[in-house]
Amino acid sequence: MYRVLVCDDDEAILESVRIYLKAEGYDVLTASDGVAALEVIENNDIHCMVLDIMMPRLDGLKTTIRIREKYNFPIILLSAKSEDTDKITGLGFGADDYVTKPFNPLELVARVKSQIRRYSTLGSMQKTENMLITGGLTLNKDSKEVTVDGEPVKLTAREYSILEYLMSNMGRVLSSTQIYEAVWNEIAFQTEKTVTVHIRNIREKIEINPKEPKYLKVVWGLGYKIDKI
Amino acid sequence: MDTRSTKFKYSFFSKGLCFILSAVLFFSFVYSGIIIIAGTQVIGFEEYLSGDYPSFTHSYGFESMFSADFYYTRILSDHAPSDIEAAFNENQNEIIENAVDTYLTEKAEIIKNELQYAVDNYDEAYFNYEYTADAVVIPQEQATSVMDIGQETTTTEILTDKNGNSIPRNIEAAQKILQTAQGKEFLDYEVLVRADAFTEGEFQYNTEVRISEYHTIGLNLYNNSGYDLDEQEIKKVFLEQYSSAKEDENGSVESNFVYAKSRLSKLDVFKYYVIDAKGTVYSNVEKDISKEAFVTAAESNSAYIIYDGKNIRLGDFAEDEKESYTTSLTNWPDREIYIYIDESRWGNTDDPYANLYSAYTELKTTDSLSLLGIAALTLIASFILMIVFLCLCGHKNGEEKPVTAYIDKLPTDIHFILSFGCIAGLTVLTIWLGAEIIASDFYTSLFLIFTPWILSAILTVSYMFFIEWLASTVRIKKAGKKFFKRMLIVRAFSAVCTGIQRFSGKLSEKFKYQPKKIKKTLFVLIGGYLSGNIVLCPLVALALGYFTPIPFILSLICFIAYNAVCLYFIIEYLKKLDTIIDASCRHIPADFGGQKVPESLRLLALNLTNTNEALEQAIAKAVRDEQMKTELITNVSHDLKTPLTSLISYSDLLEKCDIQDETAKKYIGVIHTQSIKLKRLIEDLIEASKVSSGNVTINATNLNFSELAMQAIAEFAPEMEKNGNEIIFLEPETAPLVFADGSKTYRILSNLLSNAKKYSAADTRVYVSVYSDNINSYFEIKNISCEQLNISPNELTERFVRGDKSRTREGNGLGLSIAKDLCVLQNGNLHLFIDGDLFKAIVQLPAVEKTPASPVNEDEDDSEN
Repeated sequence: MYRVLVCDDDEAILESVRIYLKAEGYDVLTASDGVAALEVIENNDIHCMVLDIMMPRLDGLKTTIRIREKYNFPIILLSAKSEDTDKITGLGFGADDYVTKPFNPLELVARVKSQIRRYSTLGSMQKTENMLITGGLTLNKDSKEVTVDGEPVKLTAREYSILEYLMSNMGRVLSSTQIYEAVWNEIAFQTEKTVTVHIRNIREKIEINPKEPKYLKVVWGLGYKIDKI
Repeated sequence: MDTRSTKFKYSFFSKGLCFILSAVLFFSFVYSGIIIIAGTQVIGFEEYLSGDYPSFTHSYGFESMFSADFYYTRILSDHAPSDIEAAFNENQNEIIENAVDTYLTEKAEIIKNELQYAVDNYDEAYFNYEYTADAVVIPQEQATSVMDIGQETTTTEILTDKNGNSIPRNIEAAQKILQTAQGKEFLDYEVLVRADAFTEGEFQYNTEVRISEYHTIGLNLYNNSGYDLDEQEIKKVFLEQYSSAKEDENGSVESNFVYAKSRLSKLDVFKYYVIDAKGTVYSNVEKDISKEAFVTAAESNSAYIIYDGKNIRLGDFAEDEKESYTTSLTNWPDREIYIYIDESRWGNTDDPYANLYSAYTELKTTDSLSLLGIAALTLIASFILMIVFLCLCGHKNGEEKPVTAYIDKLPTDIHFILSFGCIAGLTVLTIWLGAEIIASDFYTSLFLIFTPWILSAILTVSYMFFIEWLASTVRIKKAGKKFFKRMLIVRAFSAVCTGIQRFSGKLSEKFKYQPKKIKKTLFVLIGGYLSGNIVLCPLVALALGYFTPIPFILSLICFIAYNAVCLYFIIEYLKKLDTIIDASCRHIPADFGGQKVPESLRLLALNLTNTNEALEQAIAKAVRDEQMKTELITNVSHDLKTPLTSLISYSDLLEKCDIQDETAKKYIGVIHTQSIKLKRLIEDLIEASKVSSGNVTINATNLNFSELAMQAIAEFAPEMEKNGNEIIFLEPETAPLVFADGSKTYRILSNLLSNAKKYSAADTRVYVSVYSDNINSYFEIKNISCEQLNISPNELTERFVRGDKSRTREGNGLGLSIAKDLCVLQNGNLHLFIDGDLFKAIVQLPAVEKTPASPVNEDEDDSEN
C-alpha cells in the first residue's frame, strides 16, 4: 500500500484530499505545515507527497528543498498562484508536478496516481533500444505500444505515427505541415487541420489534463513538441 | 432753512444783481482810476497825489505842451527849406571827391593785401605736385591772377593792364610790385587779384553836410557790393545817393517846418512872434501889430518868453523850465522869439491850452485822496460781489446739486481762449486809445467828458468777460465735472484713445483668458506703438522733404531705434514664451533665470507647472491605484481560491454520496456547477486585471497565423460540434505571418471561439478566416447569435458586459475585454461588428515587427527617467 503525505494549512482541503486519496486506496498522512511534514517524513516511509506552497512556519518551496536533501519520492505542489514563474520555480526546486488551486480533485488524484506509478515502476521497467521515453510516457517502436506511467494507451495507427514522429524529434517544434508531410507522406495542402484534430485526440489519451498538457505541448502559432523530461 | 431766502439767493435776479453791481463798481473803479491818471498827467504825478496843486504854468501838462510849442517856434526861426538845397549843392563836389578818394584808397589797400597774401603763402613745393592728366593746370605764365597760380582752371586769357602793357603773372612780379608800388598805384594791378577779394565786405562812408553854422545833416554814402567798381562807376553811385539824400533831407526839413507852422497857427492862447536870421516874421497875431506892442501884451500876462537875439526875459515858469529855456535860447543866435500865454482867451474851446486849462481847473477841484479811496473801495467791493456771484453761480432753484450753464458746454480751452482773447483785445484797445489820446489830442475838451467813460466801459466789458469765464470754471468745478476733461484738446486726445480702446477691445474679444486685462495691455501696446510712430514718421518725412541731412538721419535713427526697441520687446516676449514651451515639453517648471516676466506669461508658466504637477500626481495615483487594484484582485482571488477548492471537492464528494433524495441531489449538482463557474470567473478576473493594467510580458515572435488559428480551432471544434455548430475555416493559400506572443494570441482566439461556442445559435455554422494585408494580419470569426444583440460593439468589450443582458448563460463577460486588451498590448486591435444576429469579430495584429508605441512602454521609459 502506497503512502501519501498531504500537507496544507487549510483543514478542509486537507480533509477532502485525504478522502479522495483514501477512496483510491492510498494510506494518507496529513500535516498542517512544512515543519510537521518533515517530522512525518522522518518517521514514515512516504511514496508521494502533495504539498501546498503557501503555508505558515515553513512554506512549500523551502520544504521541497529540505526534502530533496534526503528523499526522491515525487512531490506535487499545490498553489493558489497560477503564474508560470511559480510553476517553474517549484519544478526547479525538485518538485515533480504542479496543481493550481482550485483544482479538480479527480485531476489531483490522477496526478498522484501517475507519480506513484512512475515512482514505483521506473526501476523495474525494461528499457530497450527501440523505446522512446519521456517522463512517464514510453513508446515501444517494436511492439508499437505506448504507455503512460506504465498504463498502456490505445492509439490509432495515425495517432501512433504522429506521436512517434514527435517523440523521435524530442524537444523540436514541428509544424502541422511538417507532421502531415512526415506522417501522411504526401505534400500538405490545406490539410493541416487534420493534424491538429489528431494531436488533440492524442493529448486526450495521454494527458491527465489535456488543457494543460504535460507531454504533448502546443507551441501556439508554430506547431507541437514533446520535451524530454 | 428758510426756503424763501434760499429761493431768492439762487434766483436769476440775485445772481444778475451781483454780476451787474460788480461790473458797475468795477466801472467806477476804472473811471476814478482814469481821472487819477489824467490828474497826474495834467497836474503832475507827485503834486496831484499829494494834493499840493501848483499854479497852471507850473503844472506838468502845461510844461510839456508849452516846451513842445516852444520848440516849434525854434523850427520856424531856423531856416527856410530853400537854404538846405543850396548847402547841399555847395558841398557836393567836395564830399563826392572825398568819398571816391576814400573808396579807392581802401581798394588799393585790398589789392596790396592780396598780393602780400599770395607772396606770403607761396610755396615752391606746391608746383612740384604731379598733376593728373585730366586736370588742366595753368602754368605760371598763363594764370589769370596771382591767386590763380597753380590752381586748376580752364581760362587761358592773356592779360594786359589798362595801359596796354602785359602784366607778368608770377610771384616774382608780385614781389616786385609790393616793393615798388605806393598807395593808389596798386589799383593798376587790380587784374592780378581774384574778383572775390573785392566783394568781401561793404563800403561805408559817413559824412555830414553843413547847412549853417549850427546845423548839419548826417550823410551816408555806400556801396553794398564792396569794392568791385572803378572810379567812374563809384562816383556815379555816390552822386545818385547824394542827390537822393538831398531830396530826402529837404523834404523832411520842409515837412518839419510845415508842421511847426501849421501847429502854431492853430494856437490861439499860445501867442508867438518870431523873426528869423533873414528878417522873416512868423506870428499868429495880426500882422500889423508891432514887435513892441507884442512885447507889451506879453508882459501883461504871467507866462511869456522875450528873446531879442541877446537878452532873455522869462515869465512865471518853474525854475528848471526857466533854465532849460535859457540854455536853448543862448544856442540860437541871429533870431528873435517872443511868446506869451494870452489868458484872456481861456474860453476858446478849440484851443488845446484853453482845454488844458479847463481840465486843470476841473481836476484842481477834485479831491485826489478821496478819489483814490473811492477807487480802492469800489475795487474791493467789486471783487467781493464777484466772489458772491461766484458762490451763487451754478446753484439753481429746483436743482439739488450745482449745474452747469449752457455756455459751459463750450470746451474749456476754447472758452479760455475766447474769453482771454476778448479781454486781451479790449485791454490792448484801452491802452492804445489811452496812449493815442495822451500822445495826440490829450488836451481836447472831449477828453474829460468822453474818454474816461469810453475807456471805463471797455475795461468793464473785459472785466465782465473775465467774471463770466471765472463763473463758468467755478460752475464746472461745483458740478463735479472735470475742467481738463472738458478741454477740446483733451477731448480730441481722449477720442483718439477711445478709438484705440475700442479697437483693442474688439481685438481682445478674441482672447479667451482675461480679455479685460488683455484689453488694457493691447491699449498700451497699440497706443504706445502708434503714438511713437505718429511722432516719428512725419518727422522723418519732413526732414526728407526739406532734405536736411542731419535731422533726417537723426530722425531716421530715432525711428529705426524705436521700432527696433518695439521689435526687441516682441522677441523677448517670444523668447520667454519659448522657454515656457520648452519647459512644458520637458515637463519641468519654466526657469526664466530671474528675469522679469510679463504677467500673462508668468501665469501661463505657473499654470503649466501646476498642470504638470497635477498630471504627474494623477499619473502616479492612477498607476498606484491600478497596481493596488491588480494586487487586490489577485489577493482576493487567492483568498477565494482556497475555500473554493474545498467547495469543489466537497460538492463532488457529496455527489458521490449515496443520497436518495432527488431534490438534494439536484441541489448538490447546482452547487458543483456553480462552484466550477466561480472558479473560471476568478481565473478570468485575475487575467483581465493583469491584462488591462498591462501587467503582462509579451514575448513576440513571428508566428504562422494560420497554424495558430487551426490549433485554436482544434481545441474548440469537438465541443462546438456537440451543439451542432460547424466551424468553417477558410484557409489562405499562403500562410500569413503575425508578430505576436503565441500564448497571448491563442488566448485571444480561444476567447473568441469560446464566445462563439457559448452564444451561437444551434445548428449554425461559424466561419473563421485568416488573411493579411502585409502590414497587418487578421483573424475573422463570424457566428449567428442565438439571442438578439441589443448592445453596441463598444459596450461588448467593457468588462462584465454580456450580449445577453439577463446573464443567464454561461460566461462572465470578461472574454472580449481580455481579448481586446491583449490585442492592444500587441500593437493590434479587436474590431467587433453586429449586423442583426450576425456577430463578427476581427483580430488585427501586426504582420511584421513594429516599433512598440504602446502607452505601457512609454510609462516604463518615464519611470526609468
